[in-house]
Amino acid sequence: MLIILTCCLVLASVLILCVKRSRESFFLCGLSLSLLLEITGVMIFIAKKGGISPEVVQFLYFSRSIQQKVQFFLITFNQMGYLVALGRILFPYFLMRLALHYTMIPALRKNPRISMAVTVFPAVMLIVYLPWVYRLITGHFMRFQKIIADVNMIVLTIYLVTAVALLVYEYFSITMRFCRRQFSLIVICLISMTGLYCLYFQQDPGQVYHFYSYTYAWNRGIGYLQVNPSFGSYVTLVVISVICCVLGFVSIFRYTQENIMENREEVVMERKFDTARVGASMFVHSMKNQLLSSKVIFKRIDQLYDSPDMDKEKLREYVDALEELNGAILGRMEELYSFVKTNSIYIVPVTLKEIAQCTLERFHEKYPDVTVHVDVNEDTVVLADKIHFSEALYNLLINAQDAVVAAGREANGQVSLLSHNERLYTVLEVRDNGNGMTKTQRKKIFEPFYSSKNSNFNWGMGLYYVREIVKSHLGSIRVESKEGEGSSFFILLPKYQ
Amino acid sequence: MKFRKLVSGILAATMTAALLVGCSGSGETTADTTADTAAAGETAASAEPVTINVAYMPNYGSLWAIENAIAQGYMEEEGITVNLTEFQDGPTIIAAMESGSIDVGYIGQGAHKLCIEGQATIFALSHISNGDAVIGGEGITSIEDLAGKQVAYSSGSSSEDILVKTLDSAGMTMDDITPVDMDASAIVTAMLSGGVDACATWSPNSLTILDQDPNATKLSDNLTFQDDTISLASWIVMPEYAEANRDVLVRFTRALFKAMDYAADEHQEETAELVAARTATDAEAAYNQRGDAEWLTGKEVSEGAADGTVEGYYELQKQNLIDAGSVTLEEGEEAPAVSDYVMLDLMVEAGEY
Repeated sequence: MLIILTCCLVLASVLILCVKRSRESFFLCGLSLSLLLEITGVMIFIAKKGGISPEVVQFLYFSRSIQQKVQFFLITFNQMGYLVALGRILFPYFLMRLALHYTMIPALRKNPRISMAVTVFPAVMLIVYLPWVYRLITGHFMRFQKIIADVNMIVLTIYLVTAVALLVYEYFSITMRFCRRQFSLIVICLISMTGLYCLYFQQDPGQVYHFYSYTYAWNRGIGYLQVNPSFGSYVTLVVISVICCVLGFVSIFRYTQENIMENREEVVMERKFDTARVGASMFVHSMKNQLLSSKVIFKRIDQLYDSPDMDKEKLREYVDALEELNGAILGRMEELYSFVKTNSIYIVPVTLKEIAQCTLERFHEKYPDVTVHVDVNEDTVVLADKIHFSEALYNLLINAQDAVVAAGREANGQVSLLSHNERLYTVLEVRDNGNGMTKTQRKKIFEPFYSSKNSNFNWGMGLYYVREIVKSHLGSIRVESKEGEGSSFFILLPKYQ
Repeated sequence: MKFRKLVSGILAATMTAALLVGCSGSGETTADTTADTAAAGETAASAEPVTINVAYMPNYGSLWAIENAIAQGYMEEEGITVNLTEFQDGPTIIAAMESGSIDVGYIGQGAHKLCIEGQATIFALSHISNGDAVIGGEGITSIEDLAGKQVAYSSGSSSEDILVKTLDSAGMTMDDITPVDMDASAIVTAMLSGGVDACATWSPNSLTILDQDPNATKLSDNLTFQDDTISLASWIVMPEYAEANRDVLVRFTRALFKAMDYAADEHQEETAELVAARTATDAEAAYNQRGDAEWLTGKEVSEGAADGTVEGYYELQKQNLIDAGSVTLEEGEEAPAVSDYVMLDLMVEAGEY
């Protein structure tokens, strides 16, 4: 059963690697594979060794006949031993690399020397445990079995403890809820896999090579060979296995799903933007209608001039109508232009104070009487195009205020502009206590030409524009919202150091 | 989302099912043990009731005495309840005894070197074994044919001993063949699938190969070298256990000896059925293993322990293992006396019934 579940973990991690080809995915895949190797090797070894109670046989192999099939599986001691060695040594290595990948501790993060240092020991041990090398070393000097087994055990334990400590420290260092939630998935998955690994961690490969001998290595790794397990130890084995497998699998599954969703979102957005042509044709159609309306008004004005007694009031009415039409056309043109002209942006170091000021100036042009609660770290510097980025924030603030108005909470409306420093990001948050969004709305808001507001004044490019601006700053945008309670938009920009 | 919930549900259900299966298995075992204890309790046991965890290997030689000791009520007479656990080899049994989960165990020839080295103490001789064999596959009908061939064996076991002796008898060494080191079960698969050319293994695997491979030829067995070697099977304990529970061991050995009297020369079919039931194998296959050894009665062992015959067996075995390099002695170190690791006096005492 453990093997089947470990296979699932491997499949999930391979899927992540396919979706997201990053170093992190590679390490995660390596971690799952090494766990599979370890468990497979140990399961074959236990089946061949025997000495386990019927309960454990059923738990590990489902039935005695399956255990006997595994027992008769054709594999040499060298192959079986190295299988265990590969899994046992590589798991802590990949776990450590992942922990170093996630850590924000400056001295450890992306430090090539440390990466190199943590690679050396596993590489040496993989050479030492090569069957012919191991037999060469220990054949003449039996005491080396003890030395190799002890050193290996101690160092691998240090790897495991350090890696888990780094992950847990990192988890508790995160203050933002959504960041912590996402990171918790990967931490739970990694700690669960470590729990599974630890169940069979004591199995020294040297013991496998010396299958029928009794050496120092023998005394290691038989902890799980509980012949007549007490109720406590049996329950511990089952419960730890079940909890670790379920948590590990569910969290890696959700993590994979999130990665796939994120990836799919990009694809969907690109596809949606293809439909911009449809939007453009709508735009042209709308312009054409308005120009046709103008034409009709011009005709009527002509008719007025032709009449012997020109009705001046009527003329004024026509001119006003023309002016209104012209204003509407200009408004739409400006909106479209502001989107089109964002093809190039100019990114320079700029403080959050400057961005906040620029944003609020624009905001107060439209809502002079509305107070925005601002709590940004004014000295924090980000790489940004001040004008465009402020324009994006302005859009979010306008939406926030509109949401407050739509909820009828003008009197106690709260629109806030906040900043956080979280892991690798400087995060800007626009929060409101407006009417919030449904799940369906949340999924659609970043699509072009989507608007939940009056379509006479909006044509649904606002949040799409914000998203494009954020993307051009190498950042990402996330939203959290509860219908009827309010929304928070988070803009994550890479930290400038 | 629905798919996620479904997968989580299936997973949880699988886990729960496994848990329940495991728990039900546990319940059955407990029930069996309770039944044995109750049965023991019903008889007027003269001694204090005791439960002993016994390690065995799934073959006739390991089970012939202990199964009869239980089935014929000899253990019950001694107030002993036996919990049997299956192992595949002696070293693992010793490791389990060290961890405290096993009290007494059965070992074949290979693991005796560990007793000489002081890892365990022998308290009863089971039989003189003839189960080890070197078997050639298709086209290999003589020891000389092994030259350059892939020969499967299990290092550190009696399989290695007999292979070395067999090669030596033809003036060859391990360097003249291509040895492939694997466990006894894998050797059966390797031979039957043609993965290796020949093998050295023990019963019942040797019998399975000879039975299922029509081209297999037995090149040698323990009898081939009986003039100057001996292969023994024994019952062992940890030295500390022996010291603290001598009385229990005497009672256990007495029950074993009575069973050996019962099954050494007769009742072999009945014994084979008991063995087959325990190992979940075919009764005929178990019956065929009756030729694997010289089955001694309990009286023969006890009397042999008294007159020095048994000590002679172990002395010869010790010399064989030292000569083969299986037992390593430091320079100037003398091999321990047989009486240091074999409880000959206990065998004598247990034979007084």
